[in-house]
Amino acid sequence: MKKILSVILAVLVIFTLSACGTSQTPQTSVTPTQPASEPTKAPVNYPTKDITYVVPYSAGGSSDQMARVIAKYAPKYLGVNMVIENIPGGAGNVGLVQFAGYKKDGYSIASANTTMNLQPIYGTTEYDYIEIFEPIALVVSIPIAIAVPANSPFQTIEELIEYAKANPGKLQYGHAGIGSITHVTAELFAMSADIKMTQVPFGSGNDALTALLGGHIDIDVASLSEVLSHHESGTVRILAMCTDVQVGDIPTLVSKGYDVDMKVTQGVCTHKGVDPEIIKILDEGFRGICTDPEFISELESLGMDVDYLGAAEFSEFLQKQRKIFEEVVTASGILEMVKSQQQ
Amino acid sequence: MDILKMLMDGFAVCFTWENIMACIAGVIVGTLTGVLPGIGVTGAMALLLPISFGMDGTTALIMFAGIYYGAMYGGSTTSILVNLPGEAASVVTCLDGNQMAKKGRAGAALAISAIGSFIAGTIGLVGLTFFAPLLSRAALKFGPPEYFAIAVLGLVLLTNLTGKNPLKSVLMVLIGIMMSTVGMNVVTGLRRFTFGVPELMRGFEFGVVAMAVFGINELFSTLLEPQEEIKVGKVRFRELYPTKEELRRSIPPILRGTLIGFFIGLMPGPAGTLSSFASYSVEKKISKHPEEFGHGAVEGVAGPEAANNAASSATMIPLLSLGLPFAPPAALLLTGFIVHGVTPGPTLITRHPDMFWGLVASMYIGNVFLLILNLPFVGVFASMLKTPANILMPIVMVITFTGAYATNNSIFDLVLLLILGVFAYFISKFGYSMAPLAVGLVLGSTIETGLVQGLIICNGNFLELMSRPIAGSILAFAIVLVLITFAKPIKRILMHSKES
Repeated sequence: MKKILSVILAVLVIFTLSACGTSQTPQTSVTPTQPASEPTKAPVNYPTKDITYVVPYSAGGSSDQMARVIAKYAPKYLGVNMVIENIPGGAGNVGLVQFAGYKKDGYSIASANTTMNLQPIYGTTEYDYIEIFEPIALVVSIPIAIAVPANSPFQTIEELIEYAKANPGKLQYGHAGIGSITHVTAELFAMSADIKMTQVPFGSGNDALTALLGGHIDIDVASLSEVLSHHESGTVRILAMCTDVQVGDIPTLVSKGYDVDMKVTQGVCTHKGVDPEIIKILDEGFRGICTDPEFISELESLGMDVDYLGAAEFSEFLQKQRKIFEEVVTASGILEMVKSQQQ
Repeated sequence: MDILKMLMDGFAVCFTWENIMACIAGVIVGTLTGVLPGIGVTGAMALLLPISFGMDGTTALIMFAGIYYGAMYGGSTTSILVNLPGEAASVVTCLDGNQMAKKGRAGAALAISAIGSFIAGTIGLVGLTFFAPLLSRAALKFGPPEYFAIAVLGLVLLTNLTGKNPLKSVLMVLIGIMMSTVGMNVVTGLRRFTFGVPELMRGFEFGVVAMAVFGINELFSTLLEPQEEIKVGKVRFRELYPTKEELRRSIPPILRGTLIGFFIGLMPGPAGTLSSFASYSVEKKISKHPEEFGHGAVEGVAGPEAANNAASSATMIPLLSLGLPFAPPAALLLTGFIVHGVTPGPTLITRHPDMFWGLVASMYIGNVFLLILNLPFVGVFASMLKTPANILMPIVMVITFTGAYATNNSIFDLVLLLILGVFAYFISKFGYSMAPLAVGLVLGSTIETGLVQGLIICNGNFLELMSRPIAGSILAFAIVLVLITFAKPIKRILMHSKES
């Protein structure tokens, strides 16, 4: 009898614990003020409880860091706490797919990164994310750079291009994964400079950087946050920026006549079909967070520049970004490469 | 000596109330994180990151570092007591640690584990203090081809970890490698064996697998097999602690483990886990009583626990001197640095000496705290085993399930836990042991990724890969080892064919 009782108790405890996985604690909160231009709609009582923020990457990465800083400012601008839920795996797909299954009541949001817009093009994802998610805010954008080791023979980007033209396929560049934004950017650069380089895929930007520092690859196409400190301390040399933004005295590819302007973007989204009033409140809330000077400086200290776009502009931006991605991915042959591997 | 003076300055930085408190808080949180399976170091650090924004930079880093190496102390507790690894790096401790506990030597195992961790952690720190820049430059020389070579060597060395039947071990290693191919492949972005299940895209999570094949396996054993009443006589205080003999036998493995862990920790990858496996294998091969392994050999606890602590000290080296995090907790430490406006790298030591040396000094102090913290509790933990199984096992079950869920917030992982656990229970009845499966799982992806990237770098030419000095010599060594293992059987076959 005792044994059966203990087993039942244990099972009950397990179930209660797993049920407590999503926080459902009601919060006494500030009822947000409604915009005066909506006279006929009844005010929506949102938010009244914590919002879940799904990060489809593991704790510690840049998406996660950004999420935690946002969560810190959420009580100030949205009146409730945000609970981060890390669901890593599959280059972000596992978490996004799981998020897609959450209730569309506006109490869950997710990271909306470049990956979200890029992955579905390869036809390997469950859903086309920009069709089922509603953009709320673009928070940061991170420029992309072309870096070589300190002892590389190339001092300028022209020298690199010259060498590459004379020795097609000999230069090896590292990136953060097949089909990733850095891979796509590198191929776009190769296309516009009319050169051929060999790509070496890595699991993360960090792994590629390690290989670059050891001299195992010739070039690393990386997000600026990864290589800037190394460029400043001299262990790495950034030859050019793939984003049309001036960083120190590093030339941009655009200024050299190459039409390459790509960047890593990180934002936030919720589900399509959520009450537009709620979207408006989230939009206002994030506008507050992203324009808060302390928030901006905290993100800056993490190496991320705030480049805020509100819900409507972010939506437009995503559509434009998707078109550019589709063009580049096809023209550079990456789409073909991924599709042929599927067979 | 210049370095010693700077270290002394570091201690001066350390001895303020905030920093000491941060150190203590960090190591306690770390130990708890280590003891509880599933709740990882990285998760704990990520949770505390926003709180650290308001703290002074050095103080915050002292706390985070404390969490990291603290976990390496705590991880062995549940491994020894209930055959449930608290951290991936403590999987190997289950093998002999739990056996020691079953023989009533739980206290000894826990104590030796703490002592070994302390010695290794401190020696590792000495290496960090004096050799950091040199070691990191050496570490960079290892690229994908070298990682492949080391993983192959690891496979050769670690295959026959347990059990008497090498063939069965090899089969389990192969199953482990097969399991490592499931998921979204790093190099090609292809999904393999996911069967349309989204959660399988991330592949089999090592922590969950370890909990299943060790912990759940143990659970079923206890459930389904009649347990003899453990004679609970008056347990003398002396019996809770290691005997002189056990201590004497532990010192050489601890030193060897430190060396092994330190070098493996300098490289990217699951350093703690790999170094503990490597140490166990070395101890087993060197031992004059190899048959004791798997049944409570104290060397099998001392060596691996030292190794994983040395590895955590060594991971700090590429982090602090190059700004390169080779393990997820190191990545969070890096974030901690950046948040406070400091970028680790070659200039860290010169531009922010007080932060660097304060951190290093705090790690020495933290190790001492941990020893003081863990040793007295050995008795408390060991006597937990006196709890009757029908109360202890449900608690362990709850902890296992919570831990597995906490890893990825996924119910799927719980299903996986059960299925793998049942599978492990049944085949272990047929004499297949689980440790080689764990080895295969850990090494499988490194071997594949290293080989593919290595071949790309070497222009598709395997000979070119072998002609790289480091990779080539490691691979040659591995081949020699394989040949030696097969030398006797080959000789026999040759002799037989001569006679006939």
